[in-house]
Amino acid sequence: MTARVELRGVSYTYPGAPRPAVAAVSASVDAGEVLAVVGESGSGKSTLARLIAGLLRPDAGSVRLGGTDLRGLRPRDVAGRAGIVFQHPNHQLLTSSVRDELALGPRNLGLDADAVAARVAGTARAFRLAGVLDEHPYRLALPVRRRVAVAAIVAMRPPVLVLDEPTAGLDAAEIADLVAWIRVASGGTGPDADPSASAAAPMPLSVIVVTHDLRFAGSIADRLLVLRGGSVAAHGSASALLADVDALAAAGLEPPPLVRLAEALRIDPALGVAGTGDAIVDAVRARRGSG
Amino acid sequence: MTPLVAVDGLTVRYPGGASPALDDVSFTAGAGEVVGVVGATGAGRSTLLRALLGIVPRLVPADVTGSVRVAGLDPRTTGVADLARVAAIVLDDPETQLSQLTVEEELAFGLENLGTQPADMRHRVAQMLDAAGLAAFVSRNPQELSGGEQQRLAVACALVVRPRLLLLDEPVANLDPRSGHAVLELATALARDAGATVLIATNDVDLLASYASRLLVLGGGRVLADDDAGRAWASVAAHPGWMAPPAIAGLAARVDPGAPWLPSTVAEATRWLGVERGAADR
Repeated sequence: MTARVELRGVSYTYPGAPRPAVAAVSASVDAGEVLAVVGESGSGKSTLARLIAGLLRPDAGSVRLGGTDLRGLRPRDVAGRAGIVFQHPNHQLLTSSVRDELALGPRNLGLDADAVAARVAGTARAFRLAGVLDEHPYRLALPVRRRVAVAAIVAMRPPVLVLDEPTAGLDAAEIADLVAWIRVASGGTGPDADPSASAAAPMPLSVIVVTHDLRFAGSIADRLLVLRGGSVAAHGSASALLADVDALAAAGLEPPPLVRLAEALRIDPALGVAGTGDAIVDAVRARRGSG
Repeated sequence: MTPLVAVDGLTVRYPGGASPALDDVSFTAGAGEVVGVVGATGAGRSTLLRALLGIVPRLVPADVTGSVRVAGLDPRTTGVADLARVAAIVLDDPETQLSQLTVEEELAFGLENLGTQPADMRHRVAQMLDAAGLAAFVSRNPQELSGGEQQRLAVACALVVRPRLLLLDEPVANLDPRSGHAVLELATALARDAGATVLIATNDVDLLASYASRLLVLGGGRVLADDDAGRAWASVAAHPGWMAPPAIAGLAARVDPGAPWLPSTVAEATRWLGVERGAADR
């Protein structure tokens, strides 16, 4: 079976830039899988996200979505296959009400009025936006505005969802919420029970999350793609890589807090990746008072 | 001596708001203090910072009662020019407060408005470009910088005027941890070296833990806790409905339920556990 997203030797240099922002990146994401792309500022994370969503075209290599090379697609056809949520919600909120914002994508995909209304209602329920449908997006607090931006993309039911720094400005409970619905979306049932959901796009979603928040990455990702200076520094299981303090340090990244603590206490850093089980509590208790 | 910041019974109601954004908030903060302002979304953090500078109610209409004093001035009635000599704020949407055509002009803007001598201004701008890691961007248009670079620039613009009170609203939301550390290090250096009072409102409590020695925990517009960071995190851990504590404090609370003080950094945790050869905190 072909991977849902397949990157082969993807390179991109911004016009006039002295060096490539993304250099020879290869990776794949299956249906139902969550890939976290991590790396310090300027490592090429956001550029890679734009390449996957078809907003930039690679200078070399190829981006394939569902086996189709993006180079052969019109922008409208890319929009049906991959949706991207930008870091700053203001950059993608275009209409004067949350309702119109959620309807915009489905309408542009050519859905009829009833199907659009069903999508709006279902998405609003899933993202707890039913109470603000008539508000102007810019009047909402940042976390709610961000939720609108994510919901507006999910309303198009793209098989591939790209999220650029989705946790910026969210509190812990809101991040937990985000984790919960990404899990549901990538797990195959979709964020709501709206029957029109599955008609337009096959679930489960493939999710690509660009983030600098390794604690968040540990809570959501199956696999990790670590970028450094535009190239792949490491690629593999998220739980293994997030516990690999040396690999993260080599990419200029700070391991999640409990991995750093586990390392300082010389207990298994893997216990610190999720950090929610009893194993790490027992291990820390056992280290108490030992010199 | 009067503390630099004195807030007494501050209540803020936005028009049409069902409940007050701030409800009878009182606290003081003195010179050299770095105070973390934390709480779930809607707790009132941004409103508090904006009220300290008079943005609420002067630019954002609201019904405000109670008293606010910053260096003895009432931000509701003091002229903007006089307040700007004392306090600076960085908002959570940095691109909205960048107005100049180059990074260098952006950094000089606040100093020009304060009437700083040109030679002194050039020196301070050059120094801040270096300190904030922005020297390579000196001639770039601020609007063309990345989100993280804009945030660093906005913080640098506040620092360069050397305010006695520095208010930071989500200063690290767009930054990777390394840049986040750099920004908070710059801000806390202002407290350490120049005796400024620094208030940092943020969701990133893991990062904040290394910098704030005191916390103001807000919830539903009220002060839930105002204490030394370790004791405040213990209160937070004892009240699951308030907010999530830093990962390390959360783990420590499970290791020792009911502890009156909780560590929130690796260095604090290794000391707290009596493990001597702990690695460096960062």
